[in-house]
Amino acid sequence: MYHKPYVILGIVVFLIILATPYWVTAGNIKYEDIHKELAKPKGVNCIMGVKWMASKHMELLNEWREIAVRKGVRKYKTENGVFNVSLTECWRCHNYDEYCKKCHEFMDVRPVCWDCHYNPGMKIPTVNYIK
Amino acid sequence: MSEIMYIFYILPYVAFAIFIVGVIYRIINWANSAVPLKVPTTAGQQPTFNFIRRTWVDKIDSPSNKFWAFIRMLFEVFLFRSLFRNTKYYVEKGGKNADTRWLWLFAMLFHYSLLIIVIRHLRFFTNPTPKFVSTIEYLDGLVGVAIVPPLLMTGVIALVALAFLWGRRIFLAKERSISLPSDHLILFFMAVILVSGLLMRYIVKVDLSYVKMFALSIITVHPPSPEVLANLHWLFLIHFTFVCITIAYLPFSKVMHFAGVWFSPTRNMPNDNRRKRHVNPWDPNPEVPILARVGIVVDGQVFKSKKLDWNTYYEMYKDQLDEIAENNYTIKPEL
Repeated sequence: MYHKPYVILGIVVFLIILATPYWVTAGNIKYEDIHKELAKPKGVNCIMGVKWMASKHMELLNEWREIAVRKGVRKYKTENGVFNVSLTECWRCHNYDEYCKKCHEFMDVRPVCWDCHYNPGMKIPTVNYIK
Repeated sequence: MSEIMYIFYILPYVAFAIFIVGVIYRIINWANSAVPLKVPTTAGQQPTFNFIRRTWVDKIDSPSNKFWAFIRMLFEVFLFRSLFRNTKYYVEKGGKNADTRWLWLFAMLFHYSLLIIVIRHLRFFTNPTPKFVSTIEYLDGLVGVAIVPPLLMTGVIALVALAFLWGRRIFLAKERSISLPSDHLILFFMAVILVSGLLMRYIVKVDLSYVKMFALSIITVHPPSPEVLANLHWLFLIHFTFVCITIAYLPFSKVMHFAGVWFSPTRNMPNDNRRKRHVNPWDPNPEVPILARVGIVVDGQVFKSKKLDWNTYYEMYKDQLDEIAENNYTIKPEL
């Protein structure tokens, strides 16, 4: 083999790059069954089916934002009943910190909702911070 | 049904085993090949009299020592410097070279977008996720906050750049004629991976909690529960399978340029032909200089590079010449 030290250095660098997930976390990767960790919701039925809600709740919230802000519709009828078009409707059953936030942090999702809106973790709504 | 889903859990380990062994095999294979001649390509002034100007660009393009050769490699690897010189020869434009640096632009966009996309995927493979991954994703989505979820620009840029890089091989006649099936295959893999990934984020929404649990189970070698496997979305399985196939295919493909670029003799040698003697590793002490010899002996076989006579030429290409002669063409030496 020619230029052995350089070649070995190259192979070592290649292996280090492949092991990125381990060294960026200092080997601290925890397997977590997030569905067991989340707080159990209080109600019986969610707005839509549970599977639908798990993947598409943001689509529902996007739709709600538009019908509430642009058309003033405050009631939303689904096969599971009639719901208030508001985030507080979600928190009637779901604990924000133990359910919503926990899963978002697990997934490293940063909802842009709280740039404007109130959430239960805040002392006062964000809008009032701006004033 | 649920047992068969464990194929998807085994798949990444098989793919990575092939990838790692394959890449190391090819690197060692390249490292074992001798470089008989000093062949750096240069595009700048080499050191000479003091009154001949030599800028830092000349030092990069015509490196005179190991340090500048290393700097040149960095420019090549991180900025694709030789692609930046890309031109295309047009007979129909009076033999003019046209500027085709758009190839450099889209190559840069594609590679760096892909890098950021790979870094963003760390959010699935780490728990808790490091801060820099969230920051990169936040910056990536800064332009696209108008929609929810924010439109990540690297995904869009990578798709557009891929369309150009593939379109170049499809619609430009010269590039099409030099494109091999393997060129299209790797672009096809990248297209499937990119499109399925973008679909998952923006159109067909996938339950990511199971995706992340599955990814964590792979990286922590903690077999996932059948519940996790059963809840994986079909689109995710397509995305994931194609990623695994691509990773396993990389050592056999031209994507090996990520290692091969470091072995290019035209790039990694300092241009010091006249100051240092380059010793041919497989012919270290020649009695007669290589170009003055009648033939070169490799593996006991004599290759006559100079003074090639008709009989030797005929012996070397006997099969093909006879085949041509069978089609009523006259085969004779040019005198």
